[in-house]
Amino acid sequence: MSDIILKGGKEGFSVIIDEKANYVDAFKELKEMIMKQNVESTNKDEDVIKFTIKTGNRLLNDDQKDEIREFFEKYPQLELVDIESDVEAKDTVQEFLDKNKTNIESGIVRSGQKLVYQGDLIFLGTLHRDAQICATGSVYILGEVNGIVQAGYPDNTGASILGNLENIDQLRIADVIEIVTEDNKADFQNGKFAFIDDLHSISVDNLTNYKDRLNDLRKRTG
Amino acid sequence: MGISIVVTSGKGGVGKTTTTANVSTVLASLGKKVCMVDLDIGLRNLDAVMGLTNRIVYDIVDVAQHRVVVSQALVRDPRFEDNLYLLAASQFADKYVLDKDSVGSIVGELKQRFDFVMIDCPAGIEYGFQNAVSIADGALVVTNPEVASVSDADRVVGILENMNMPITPHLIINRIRKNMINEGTSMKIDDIVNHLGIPLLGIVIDEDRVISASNSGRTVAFDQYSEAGRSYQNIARRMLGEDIPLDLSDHTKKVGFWGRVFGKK
Repeated sequence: MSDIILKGGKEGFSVIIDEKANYVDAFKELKEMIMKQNVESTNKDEDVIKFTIKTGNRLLNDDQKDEIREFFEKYPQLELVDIESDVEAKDTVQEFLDKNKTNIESGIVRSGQKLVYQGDLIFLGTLHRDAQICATGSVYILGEVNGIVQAGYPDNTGASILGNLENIDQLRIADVIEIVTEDNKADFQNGKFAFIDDLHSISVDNLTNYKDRLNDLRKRTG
Repeated sequence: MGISIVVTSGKGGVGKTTTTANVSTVLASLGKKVCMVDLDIGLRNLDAVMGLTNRIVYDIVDVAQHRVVVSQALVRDPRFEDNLYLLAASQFADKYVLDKDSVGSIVGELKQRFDFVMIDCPAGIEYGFQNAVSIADGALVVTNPEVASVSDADRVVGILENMNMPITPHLIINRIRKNMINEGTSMKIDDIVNHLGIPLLGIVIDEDRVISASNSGRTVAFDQYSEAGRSYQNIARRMLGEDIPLDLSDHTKKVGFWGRVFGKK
């Protein structure tokens, strides 16, 4: 029985490496197959042939992936589209989950405390003066805040701070810091949101405009 | 080259921070370049009394650990043009991240730029206190007219004398109760000064206005109706060498004839 299966489809060829097979043998077989294929197809076809390698429940490490890529680079008429696996490493999954998690905090954050959250944060609690909450994503404030609120910690400029911005001392998004003083206090009220504008400084707008702003920002970055 | 002055007391709650804020603001209003340094790591207050909390981005710990340079961490007080700056303490780190060398080099750098570096010392005589007093050129010892506070001040004066500072420590007696002076139940000012044996720089009465001013982020020194405020003005002027006599009778209430007849207090 062969360790690899070659399948053709609309998107080009895919090579399925049997997850139970020995990787070294399978790679050898892949090389032999490509070399054979190459000899047969070079003269007939001038289009680039696309390949996707599927490893099933096997996860290749970076060295193995590099090895395959290097091999394909030798053949300019072949293009390696991707190396796909059905599985992900646990820490990659955890990182992904953390990044997309929504945290809910309902307690009191007191002076001198600094809480850091992975993902977005819905803040229902009370943030006292001299305390700090940081989230890698956006921060939605429904509670009362007096201290420092940081969204996009440490460098996510696409994050925003939304909701009750009244009485906040300092807003930080990524590396931008906005100090609320008597002069600009009127801008920061309930029902507003703060974001990083295209001049890379913090702007405030009504929450009703959030959807439009978000679309604008997405267009800009995407 | 300026001078560094530590405001200390030993006992807590006698008015170190209030004194630092008031003396510094008056000096700044008199045209001196002043920098306040809060060394009460973990329990900072000076920024709150000055109403500058929201402006703090970096603090002294960030400077000591070389994340930023001193000038980046200084918070300017917009009410005093370019004369008054604050270097805040950290509310998140603990006090052991600072040592004498790092505090010394920061204060040394500030002395190049400012006429006065006013250091707000933490209560107690342990680690934070040692850091604060070891790098100061002079000291203001704050005490209240009560036995516990005077006794702690005595201990502090003893430690300061052993350090041979270039400027002798001076005394400020704070929170004097007018009614107790009038009734004769308070400790006598002269007794306190004689007991501690250091020059008296000024006396300040206990007044509600002091608290209400700091609650709103202002200093009482610019409240023209406040006696305590006037006392702080005088203290700062004396620091600059002006000869302003101490007058306790200003503070005591003169009881008039009708008052005596009806026994009003």
